[in-house]
Amino acid sequence: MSEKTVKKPVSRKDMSKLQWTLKEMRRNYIGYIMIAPFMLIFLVFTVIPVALSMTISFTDFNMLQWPNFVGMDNYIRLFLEDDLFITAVKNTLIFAVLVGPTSYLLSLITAWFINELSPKIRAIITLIFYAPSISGGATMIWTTLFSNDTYGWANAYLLKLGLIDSPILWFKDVKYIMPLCIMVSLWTSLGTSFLSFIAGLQGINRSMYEAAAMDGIKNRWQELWYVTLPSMKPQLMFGAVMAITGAFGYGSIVTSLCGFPSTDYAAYTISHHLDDYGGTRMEIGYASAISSILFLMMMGCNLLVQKLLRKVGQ
Amino acid sequence: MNKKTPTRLLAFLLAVLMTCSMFTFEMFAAEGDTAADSSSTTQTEETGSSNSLESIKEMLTEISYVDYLDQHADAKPASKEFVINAVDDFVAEKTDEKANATIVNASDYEGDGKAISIGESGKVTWTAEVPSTGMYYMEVEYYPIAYRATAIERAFSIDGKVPYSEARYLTFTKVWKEQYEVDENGNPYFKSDATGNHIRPDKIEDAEWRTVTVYDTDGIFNEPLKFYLEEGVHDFSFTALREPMIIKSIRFYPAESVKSYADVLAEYEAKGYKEVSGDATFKFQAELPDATSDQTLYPLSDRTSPITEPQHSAHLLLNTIGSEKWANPGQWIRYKVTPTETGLYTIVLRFKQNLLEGMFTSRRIYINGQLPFEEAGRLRFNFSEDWQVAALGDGEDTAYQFYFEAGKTYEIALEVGMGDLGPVVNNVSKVVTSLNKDYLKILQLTGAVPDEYRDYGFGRIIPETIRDLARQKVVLEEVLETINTTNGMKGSQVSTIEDIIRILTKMTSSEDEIAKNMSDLKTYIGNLGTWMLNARTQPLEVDYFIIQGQSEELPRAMEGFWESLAHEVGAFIASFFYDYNSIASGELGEEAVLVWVGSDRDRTKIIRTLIDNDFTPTTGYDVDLKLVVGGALLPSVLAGAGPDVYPSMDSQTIINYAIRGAIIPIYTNNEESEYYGLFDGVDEVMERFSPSARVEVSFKGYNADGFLMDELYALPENQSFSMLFYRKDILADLDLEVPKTWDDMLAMVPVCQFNNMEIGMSPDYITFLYQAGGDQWADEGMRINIDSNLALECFEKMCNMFTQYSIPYAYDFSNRFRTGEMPVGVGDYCGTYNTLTVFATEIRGLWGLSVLPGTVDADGNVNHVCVTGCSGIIMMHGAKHLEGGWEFMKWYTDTYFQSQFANELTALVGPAAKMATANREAITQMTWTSEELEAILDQFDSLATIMNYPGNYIIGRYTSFAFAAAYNNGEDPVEALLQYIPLINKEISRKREEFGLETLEIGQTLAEKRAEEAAAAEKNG
Repeated sequence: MSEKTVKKPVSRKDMSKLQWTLKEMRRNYIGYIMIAPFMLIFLVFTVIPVALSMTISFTDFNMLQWPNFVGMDNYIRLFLEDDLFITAVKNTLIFAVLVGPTSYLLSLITAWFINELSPKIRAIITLIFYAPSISGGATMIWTTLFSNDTYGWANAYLLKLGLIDSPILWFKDVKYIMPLCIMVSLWTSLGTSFLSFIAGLQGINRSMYEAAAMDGIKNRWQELWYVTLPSMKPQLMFGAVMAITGAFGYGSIVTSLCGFPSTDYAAYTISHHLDDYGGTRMEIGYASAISSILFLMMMGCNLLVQKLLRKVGQ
Repeated sequence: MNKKTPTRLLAFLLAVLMTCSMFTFEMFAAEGDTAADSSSTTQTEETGSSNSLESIKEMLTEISYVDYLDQHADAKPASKEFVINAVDDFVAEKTDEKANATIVNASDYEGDGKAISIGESGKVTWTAEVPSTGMYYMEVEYYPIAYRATAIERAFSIDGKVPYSEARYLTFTKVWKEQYEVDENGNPYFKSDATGNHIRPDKIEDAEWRTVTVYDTDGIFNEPLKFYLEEGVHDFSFTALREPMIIKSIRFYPAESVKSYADVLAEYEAKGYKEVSGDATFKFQAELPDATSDQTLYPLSDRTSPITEPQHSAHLLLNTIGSEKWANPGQWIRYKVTPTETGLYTIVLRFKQNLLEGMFTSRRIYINGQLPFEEAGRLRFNFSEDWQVAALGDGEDTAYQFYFEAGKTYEIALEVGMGDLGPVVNNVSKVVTSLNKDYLKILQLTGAVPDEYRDYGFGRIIPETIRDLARQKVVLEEVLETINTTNGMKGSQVSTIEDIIRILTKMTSSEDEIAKNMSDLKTYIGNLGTWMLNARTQPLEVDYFIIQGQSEELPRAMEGFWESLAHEVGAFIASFFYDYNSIASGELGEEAVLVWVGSDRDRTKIIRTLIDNDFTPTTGYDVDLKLVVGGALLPSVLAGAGPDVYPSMDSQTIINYAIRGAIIPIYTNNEESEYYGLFDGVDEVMERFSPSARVEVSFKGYNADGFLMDELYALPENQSFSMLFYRKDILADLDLEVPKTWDDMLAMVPVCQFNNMEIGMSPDYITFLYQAGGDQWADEGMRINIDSNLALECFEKMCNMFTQYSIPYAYDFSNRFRTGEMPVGVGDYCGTYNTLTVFATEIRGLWGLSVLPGTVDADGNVNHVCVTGCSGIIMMHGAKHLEGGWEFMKWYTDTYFQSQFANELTALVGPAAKMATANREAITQMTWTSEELEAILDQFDSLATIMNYPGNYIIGRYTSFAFAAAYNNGEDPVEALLQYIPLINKEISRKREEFGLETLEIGQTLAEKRAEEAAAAEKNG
């Protein structure tokens, strides 16, 4: 009996793409159920807000009144009339170029070094390096170190040595703001990407190194380039994305160091511009336009980095 | 040329200073510490005001009560008493007119005969003949007129002179009574609300004639204050500091010590008094007093113990009284009892003293207004985490016995005093004062950060100071000895004193150690100050009293394990059915006014209580009070689900919301508006506030049609402003007057810098601008006015203070003020005051606040105006209960609510919870001292504000950039500022366009625009 009713096996070619997808979905429904909660949250809190913000960027929304559609006005104003935006883009790019790659390389190299240590010491050193980025108020130490007060460490020491005769306003003086902010952000940047690098280094199969040695790897650099890095590409990718978003979204540290806005907009970034219009001036439509641009810049940068990372190990 | 002259002068001055500073040490060596005195300053003519140098010096040098007693150590108690009749002995000629002294019939105030009514300021004098030379106690018969919620304060002087510093502040308490419900047997009880929780009854001031012997206000001394009077005719005066009062008589009687308990006991035996039987035992609940001295002494709810009476596992019952609300010396709680048997009783109470760790707190007991024996003036309550039960006694074995007669009604009052801790606290307080002085002397020599390796020659230059350090060490060692031998004191209290003894030992052992230990010394003086502040509060919570014979058993203090378990489990189960966190007081209908509060739970609870006790009963509107997080308002407005009324919004946000239509204007001049004339009595309500506050929460300007809008969006709630804080001791030492003008202030700079000190200023040109009569805005907010000559001048003046006088830009004012590095500085009057109260405890009483230094105009008048910031209560757009909401707004900003709220908060959080209410009358009802109040009101009467026109956020930004350019790079301040003016005007115009308001072209004035318009109209028409 049963032999007679055996269906003809269905082949991929027999159905349309949509049918095939639906069939696959039905077959793997457990997987979809499992991913549903995340997708729901992702949709509600990430996808929809981004889409909404894009939409709002074409209006004059002000948080309290019903928005009016203004077309491309916000974007036109942003690119043609807003001098401050250019300053913000300039500063953001300086941060992104200096802090992003530097912190990325720094994370990688530190992770690589730490990985050579014995497990117990490694755990301790990891904590020490990671600590600045988990404790939110960690920038406090820099405000004490470079306090504008006579009793700030740097000022007190320079005064004692007789190099200066009145305290330097470190975070109010255009000369010092940018270098200091870059320094502090590098210090706090050994964050999530650093941890993921350590995890990546841990996860490499030891036998790969033996095989590589047999294949004629000559030194540790070659080992790093041909074995270690290619084996941890996912982590490298993750680290890069984190570093870029970090560098582009850079702003809160500057605010906590220099106040808002920094003197003469010396360290004024796009994210400050966003705060300025979204918060102080309550022009949400315009702020949304800024954030859309920021979003596009990050996207572009990510694509670029992805391309670069493909070259690792080649 | 004009600009150069002051610069040259300054350069010359600096050159002189530098030359002088080279010889500093030789001068010190030669003349001791007269160097500071030799530098003269500009002295203003004013004397006699409370903060003139003379009066500060007089106050600082006034002898203390202890010294006074030493001076008159040989004086015997007087042999005869005498009475001053307040009416007959009154001397009108020596009485101030503002004292408003009038003779009244005591019968109008439930008394008999005649008495004299005295206002809240000025001096009243009586003349009387003292019959014999000797020491007297003073007893005053007075009637506290219901006026404000604060105690009466008077300064007492004999022949025009205050005998000692303690007589400068004498406190006379008032009488407050709860409005209980009374059952058919005449016993009071508490009403319950719908959920079964007790409702706290109203408390009203119920004045009565009081005859009180005068003690010191701080409760330090266990005996009444003594006055040494010589035979003959003398003048006696009371100077009013706070509150009016009616005085009938002042009796001076011989200062003889009260009998000791041993004597009283012997008397009992001689008279054959016996202990009462077990049937005579009776009990009464502490939470139902007959009267209390303070409005904030009301019943509390204790849920920590199941045997606190009454107790319920689900309902909140009022069952105790006191705790931290009953902690300040002089506060009393009184009960009326009628024993049923004649004989000797003990007084047992169940109490808790878990707040003053490692120390005991003290009470005095009065029976019918009399201290029965000496020991009754220093009853001790030891520290424990748990409830305790004990008979009033010496804290050890002896329970004191009191004689009561059957059927007679006795008034038993317990009053806060410092008890045995008094002398200790007094000694420590003197040590703190001396050490502060010593520290300052060293500071003037070394600066705040001394060089450890330098030989300052302390022994040569300030030998007296070094000797005094050693003296204070000895005093502290004695104090330590007292504490160690006193029962009920724990080791943790001792370490603070041990620390400072250790450091003093080091510092006096070798001169090299002085500079090294300077900062530690300051820290430890601070710790000592904090210890003192804690020891001055004497909290005690009481559950009930039992009056019974000595041999009766005591009830238990703590519950058993099973009882406790049952209570906790019951409470746990009840927590599923009752919402204890609800700030609502039961079921509310649809009609309740919805109020959101964005502050904390403590404040919200106080608001709730006040609503239930006053707002709802008087207006009939229910209030649904909700505690929300601060950020909840904005989204709620978007969603259309906002509250009716929202308090405590800062003025900038108010205008931001209002201009976008999210707030209902409570006054508008636009007749087309639906809110035109809707709210009654706006002008009347606004009279409560400084006229400046109205400016800040309203908008006045031309809209695009050229119509001049005038709208008011909020009732002001808080208004904070800056005042001048000064160190009395340092100014007296440097011979400097409290600066009255900015020129005075700048003249202080060299003197201060010479003594290693600085003055504190903020980079704020706005104050200068407004004091000179300028304005930040021009043309109703259409353009900025800081490019006017006056404003540029002010800005330059401000920049020069920092660049030329090297006034520090960044500093922590409280810290430097405390150490004495910064003896004068400008700070927010409430914020800085609160910080200093808790943070700088060791300089308590050594600092004051005064009006902001002013700018002198052409006629020589000084303008002290301060530019303020305020917050207000608003009604949200879309509010459903306009009428009720408006009533609530009026009630919330009135004197009753603002002062009650402030005083409740102070009682709950402590003296550092002062708030800057915008209601002028309410300020006077808060717990400021009269001296502080006078200064604050002076400042309150000269306030200015800046209207929050659109785009105002941009101004501070660019002016700070200009300041930074001048400060960091030495650029010319005026040029630095001018380059930003077009940017500012551009932003203002852009922002105004957004809101459909009239705008100007860059560089155009309104007058020009109107002229152009007129010309154009002429051309066309």
